[in-house]
Amino acid sequence: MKIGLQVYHFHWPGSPRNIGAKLVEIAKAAENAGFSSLWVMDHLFQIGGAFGPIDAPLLEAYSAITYMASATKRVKVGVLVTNNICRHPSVLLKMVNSLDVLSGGRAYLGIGLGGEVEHEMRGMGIPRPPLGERVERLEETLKIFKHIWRGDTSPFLGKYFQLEHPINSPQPLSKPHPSILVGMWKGGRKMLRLTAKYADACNLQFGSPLREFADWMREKYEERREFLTSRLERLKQNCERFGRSYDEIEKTVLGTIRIAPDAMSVDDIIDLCRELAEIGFHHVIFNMPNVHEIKPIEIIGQEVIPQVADVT
Amino acid sequence: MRVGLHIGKFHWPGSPDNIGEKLAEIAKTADDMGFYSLWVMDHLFQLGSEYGIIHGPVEASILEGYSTISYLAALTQRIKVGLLVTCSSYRDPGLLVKIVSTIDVLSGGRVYLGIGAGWFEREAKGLGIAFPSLRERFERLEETLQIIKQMWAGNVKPFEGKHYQLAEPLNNPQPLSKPHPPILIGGGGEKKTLRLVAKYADACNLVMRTTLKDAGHLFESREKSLDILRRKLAILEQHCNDVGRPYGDVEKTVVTYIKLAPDAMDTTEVIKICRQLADLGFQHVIFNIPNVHEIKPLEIMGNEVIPTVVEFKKED
Repeated sequence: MKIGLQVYHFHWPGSPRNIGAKLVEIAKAAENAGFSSLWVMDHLFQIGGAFGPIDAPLLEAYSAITYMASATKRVKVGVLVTNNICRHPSVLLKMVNSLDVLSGGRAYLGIGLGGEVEHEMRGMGIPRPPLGERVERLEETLKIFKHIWRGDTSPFLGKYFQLEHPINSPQPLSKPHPSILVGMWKGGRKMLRLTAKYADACNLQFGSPLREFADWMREKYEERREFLTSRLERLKQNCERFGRSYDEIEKTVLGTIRIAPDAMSVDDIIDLCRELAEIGFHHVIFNMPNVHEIKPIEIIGQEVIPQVADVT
Repeated sequence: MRVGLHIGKFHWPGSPDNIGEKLAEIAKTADDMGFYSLWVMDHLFQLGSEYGIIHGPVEASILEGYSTISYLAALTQRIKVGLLVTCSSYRDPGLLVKIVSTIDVLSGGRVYLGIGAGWFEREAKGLGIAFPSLRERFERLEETLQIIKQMWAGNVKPFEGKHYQLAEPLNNPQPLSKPHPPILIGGGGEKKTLRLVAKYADACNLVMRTTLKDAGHLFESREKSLDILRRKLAILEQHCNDVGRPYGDVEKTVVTYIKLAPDAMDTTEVIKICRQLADLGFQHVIFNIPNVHEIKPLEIMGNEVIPTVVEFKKED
């Protein structure tokens, strides 16, 4: 089992002046500790609650992850997950592609519908169509990525985007291309269908057991076993429907933890990893409110990653 | 006079496998050698064979600009970074402000925001990006400049433009550059672009064509190039007078193309170019060096050109 790290906030002592230096420290610590992947969120406003107030410092995702890629050598990097409606698909493709080339082939393309972003999209004047159209647009973006990463320069004529001559040079260093990961909160029918049809990896969430997080995060955690099992089961059904091998899809899962006497112990985290592996996940991505203290990264590196590496 | 470096292509021996590594080497050398600024283009296609050795055919390698400078900012300590220049319609203005603010924060306050109206229709259509009329592109550029200024002033009131409406243009963290990263507008359009410089920009950027023979349609005689630049600066000064902006407030930057080689140019000639540009009133010359990946040209510039031209300024 692989362990990843997502950085979801940037407000810590010394921020914003030390954000650059601290992100380099976090990225290097995670790589040295044996984390497999490093992620940031894609939001333009912080998302509220225990994540931080809406006006807390938040970085643009691709600038931040590319900066962190520069400080590392081995760890995979990505955005968990890109809000599909925030950037033109061709510009997004060039960004992910550049991240992959600059990092020597270490990029994921993590992408989703643009779920909880209504306030920030309106705030920034970026149109956010209704759900049905967002699903169609996500499918079109996935088709554009596959088209271009196949090296097909013939016109792409979609409902929303028409690309007359989609050249992409250089192509990614990851072969055949960076892993396409579709992320979702609810794991609805349509998202699991898109995952089965287009994705190399899926991302679901287990929420958080931490008291400081909102009810909807803790409820997600309480019902994780049933919820995650049912979603992977549905993904499997979709794979059968589209003649896709279920086993070739990397199953990743995200959630929030904190190691502290009043929160979680190392054993709690190892148990959680074992449970998630049993449900069918290969790659658990943690985020931690106190990631900037570095110590939590080191503890996971010393006491969790070696314990769960062989868990399948 | 400040000396900057413009990286205009990414195809060299070992590319694309070594692009990350080679760019790191270029950026670190430029930083060590006293270059003031480091720039890449905002293009998604390479510009075409008509640019000779400067850019390359449309199918040649090119990276997304902001990803590239964010990557390079992490590897350098002192040098400023920016895009020469952002195509304003490729990203929503609010997103653009977040990107530039992010890189400014990450780099410890080392960013320029370079921007223009965009011109490369083949690239936009090739990738399905809207490419409105010239008039609309300028309207959008002007609104984008207004949004940038508003967001960097910390004003979160709704922005109600013709093309963009932002209900709550919140930007946090604000840049570390104070009052904000310099806003540079690229281009020498006499009626619109230079007017926008006078109204909104901290810096202008003009192009000086080159005497390098293999530079395709960037070729021009020195004399004619200097005449064009003299004229553009006079027009900029007039626009500044018209809008009540002190002409001296605007940093005058220029990009040009040089190659240090026995069959091309020597350092004496490069120093002379700097002298001529300083005499016209330019404070910052940005060199595109097509063989930059050889690294040696950067060392020569650092050892033999930059220490001499750093003192250059317009004699009044």
